[in-house]
Amino acid sequence: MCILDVEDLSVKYATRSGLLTAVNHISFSLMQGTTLGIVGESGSGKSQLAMALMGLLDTSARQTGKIIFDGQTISDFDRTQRRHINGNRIAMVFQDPMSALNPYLSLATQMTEVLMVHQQMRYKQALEQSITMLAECGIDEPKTRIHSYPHEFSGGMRQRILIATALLCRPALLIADEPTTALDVSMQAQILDLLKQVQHQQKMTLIVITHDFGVVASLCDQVMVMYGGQVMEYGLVAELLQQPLHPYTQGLLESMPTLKKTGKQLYSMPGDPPDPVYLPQGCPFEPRCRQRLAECKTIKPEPVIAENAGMVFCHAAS
Amino acid sequence: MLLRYAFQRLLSAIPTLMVMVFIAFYLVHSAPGGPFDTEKVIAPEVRANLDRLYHLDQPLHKQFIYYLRSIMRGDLGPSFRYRDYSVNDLIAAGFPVSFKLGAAAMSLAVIIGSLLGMFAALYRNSVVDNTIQLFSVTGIAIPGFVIAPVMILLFSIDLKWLPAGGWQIGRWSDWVLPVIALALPQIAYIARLMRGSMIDVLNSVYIRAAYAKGLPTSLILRRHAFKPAFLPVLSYLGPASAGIITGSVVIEQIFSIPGIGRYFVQGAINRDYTLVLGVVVVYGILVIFANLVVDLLYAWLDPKVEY
Repeated sequence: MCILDVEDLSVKYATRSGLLTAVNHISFSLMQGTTLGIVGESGSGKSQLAMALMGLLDTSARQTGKIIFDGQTISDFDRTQRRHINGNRIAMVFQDPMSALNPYLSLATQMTEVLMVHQQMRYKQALEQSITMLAECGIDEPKTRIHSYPHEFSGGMRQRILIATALLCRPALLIADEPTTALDVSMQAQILDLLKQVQHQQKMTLIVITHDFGVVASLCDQVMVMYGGQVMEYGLVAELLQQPLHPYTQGLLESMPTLKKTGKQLYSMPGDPPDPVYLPQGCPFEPRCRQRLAECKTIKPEPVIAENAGMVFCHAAS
Repeated sequence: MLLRYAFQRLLSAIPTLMVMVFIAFYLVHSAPGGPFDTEKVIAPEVRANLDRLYHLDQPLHKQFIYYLRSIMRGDLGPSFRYRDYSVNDLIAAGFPVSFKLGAAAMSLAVIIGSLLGMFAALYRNSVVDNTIQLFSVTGIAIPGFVIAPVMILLFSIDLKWLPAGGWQIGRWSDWVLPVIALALPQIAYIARLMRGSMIDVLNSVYIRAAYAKGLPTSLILRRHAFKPAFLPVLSYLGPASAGIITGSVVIEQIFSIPGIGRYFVQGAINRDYTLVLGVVVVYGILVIFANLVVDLLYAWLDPKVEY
């Protein structure tokens, strides 16, 4: 069953220097229970895409296109309607566990309020459920720890707490924005395991935003590579990592250090990401591309269905 | 723990107070003239007797030690000018009035100031915000001794709504103008402070995370945003209490309110040494106490602070 369908989504901002395009005509759909990785450099629009999915864009943003979640066009919802979806059917885990918890409120307050608002629970019942969820997410002694404040926990623990809070209402879709970026390597592995485990248990659909192909390889079924607010390549993880078709994906994978390629200098892509106010008319990656053709500068590439059932937006790949 | 901390703070206030008394003592005594220099010439013998009685014939450092000893006993000495009154009597009579005026102004400033600041932050860059900002800048820039006479002119003399001064028991209309005049600069400052901190808090990740949890906006403001935004205002309340005190010295004079601020001015003009110093001691204790209360409240509101 298709749980999320994004059709031609764009996010633009009117700035002093012109119209800034953060997300540029993106379409994709997700089957229930699958995991999508969204990969891209900083500024590729992946976090803006997440904010658009949550309906949390700044009021100055202009959003066009459709977001259909579980049969409902949530992009047309007003604030109150959205409020009943957020934290309830769609939940989000933020990038920085140090700043995503309110330092002045105890965990008990920050967790029970979700259940009290969405499921009209009494405090006592909500507290019990929150304690169970903390235990499931690997917090020791949750009964006493739930009355502590965020500063009394380490970064990894706080990320577990954020995940537990997001899972309280058993959401159908969980969006994790760089869930491991702020953590050290051993903690990263634990958090990824936790995400994998809860997703499996709850048959939840998961969107993971990251710039780390390692996270994608260990967690995701599908991957979407973004650049300049647009999709460059979309496909199944196993195939895309084995045989990337887009020059940008190839470049990204080549610039990752591996144990095999010792002795050689690590590849680094020349140039910088495009200015979102002055996006190129054709392919946004054209100025940095090793395989650019004459038409890349002026004509936007149409999606090409590749042999491995993936989709690639590139003139050179067709 | 908290009690021990409060006790330590009170102990450490004693040297602070002594330094303050020392500076104030030498300052009043360094002003030319003395309490018994009047237009009417006093016989030299009488003058010598007076000086002896009040220890004015002794060297200054000895006078200071006499004074310090007497305030250690809780005795602020006799007034030099108000014969038959001790400074303790005068302050005991005036202090409740000054305290009520100051407390009312402070409460008004905190409530109105934080509300205005919060609205300005919520409707940032709108007409509401610009109006509040304009009011704030004006309120900070114009001193009380300009605002108060203008208010008397407008509300007492032209419109005849409120009394121009005085302080009669049970007449609440006496309170309105002085309390507003005293609170106005503090309202303005607190509104600015609250606006800035509220904007910072509203832009923070945890507020965005609270919206992602699907909480209603009213709950987010009340539970998640108010406390962190109010903390900078709370730490300003220590200095604000000092501001209210200095303001009240002027306001009590303008509205002829029988508080101790009036004695401070008259005492200084009359070189009534003990009266001026007595008021300084009371004000000093008040400011130290206000700062202690602020710090204890801060610890209560911020879970990260421990004693």
